[in-house]
Amino acid sequence: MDEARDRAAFEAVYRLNSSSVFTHFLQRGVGRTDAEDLTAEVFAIAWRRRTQVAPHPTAGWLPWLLGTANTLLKSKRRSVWRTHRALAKVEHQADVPDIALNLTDRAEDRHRLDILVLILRQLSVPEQEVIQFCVLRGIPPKIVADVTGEPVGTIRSRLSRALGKARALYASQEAPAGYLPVSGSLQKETP
Amino acid sequence: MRTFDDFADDQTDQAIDQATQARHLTYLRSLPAGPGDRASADRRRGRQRLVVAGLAAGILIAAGGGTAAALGLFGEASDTTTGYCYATADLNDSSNNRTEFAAAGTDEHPNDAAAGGIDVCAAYWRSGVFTGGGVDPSRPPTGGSEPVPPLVACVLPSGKAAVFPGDPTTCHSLGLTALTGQP
Repeated sequence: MDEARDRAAFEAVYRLNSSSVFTHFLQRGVGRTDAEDLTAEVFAIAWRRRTQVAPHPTAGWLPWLLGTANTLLKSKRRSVWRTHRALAKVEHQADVPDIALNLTDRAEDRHRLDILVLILRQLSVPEQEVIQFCVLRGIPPKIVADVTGEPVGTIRSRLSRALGKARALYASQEAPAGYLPVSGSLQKETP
Repeated sequence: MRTFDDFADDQTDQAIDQATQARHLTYLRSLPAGPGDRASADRRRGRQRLVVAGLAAGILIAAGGGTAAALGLFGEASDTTTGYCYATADLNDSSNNRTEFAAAGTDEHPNDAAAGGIDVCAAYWRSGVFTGGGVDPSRPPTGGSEPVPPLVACVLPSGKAAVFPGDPTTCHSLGLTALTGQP
C-alpha cells in the first residue's frame, strides 16, 4: 500500500517536472533522443533516492532534479565529446551535423532555442547552470544555494557575471533571420 | 529591442511526447521499489559473481595455474560515464541491438554506470524495449512485466560496461572480459 502511494506520488512528480528536465537538457545542446533518455535517468535516480532527498519547501522537486540533470550532463558530455573526437578522425571532410539542430518541431521555438544554446555554450558550465536556474527557471539564488550547497554570495556573483556575458553575447550575436547555428558558429542557411 | 533577459519569458518547456512519457513511466514502474528489492538484486548479483568465480576457477584449474587477471577473464570498466544494454549476445553495435544508458549507478556509486548496469538493463528488459530480439523504440509499453533473461556484464574494449543476455561464458565467447567491481 505504501509502495502504491509512493509510486502514485512519484508519477505525479514525473508528470509535473519531466518537460522542465527535458527542456533543461535541450537548452544545453543535447539532442532530442539523448535528452529523452537522460530525462528518464534523472527520474530513475530520483526514485532510488526518494527516501534520502526531500523536495524544497517552496520550490519543490525541480531544483534537485535539475541539479541531478547537471551531474548527468557532465558525465554524459565527456562521452559525447569523445564521440565527437572519434567522428572527427574518420569523417574529417564530412559536415557533422550539430547536435543542437533538430531540437523541436516548431521552427520559431527551435530558432530561439538554437540561439540560446549557442550563447550558453560560450559560457562556462557553472555559468550555464546558474543562468538556467535563476534566469530561465526563475529560481532564487538562495534556493540554488540551498540545493547546491554553495554560498549564496557565490551564486549571486556568478549570476551577475554570467548574465553580463550572456547579454553581451546576445547583443553581438543575435542571428538575423535565415541563419542557423552550425558547429558553434553562425552560418548562412543554404536554400 | 530584444535582450537576453527576454529568454526568461520566451522560453517555454518542450513537451515530451505521450509515447515517450508512457515508456518512461513503464521504465520507472519497473524499477525496484525499495530495500527489499535492492536486497534481492544484490543477492542476484552475488549469485552471478559466484557463477563467474566458479567458472574462472574451473578454467584456472584446467589451465594449470596463473591468475584470472593474468588470463584476462575479469576487468573493470575504465569508462563509467555510460554503459550499454544489448538485445542479443552479439557485438553488433547498431541501434537495433543496443541502447546506451547514462550513469544511474547505485547509492554508493551514483555516477558509476557499470555499478548499476545489470539492474538498469533488467529494467529495460522488463519494460519491453528488447522484446522480440531487438531495440524498438516504437513498440508500445508492455506494463513492465516482460521476462528478463539471465544477464551478464562484460567490459568492452572501449572500457565501458556492456550487459548481454547470456551466462558467464558469454563474455569470454565474445572475446570480452567479465565485469568485476560491481557492488
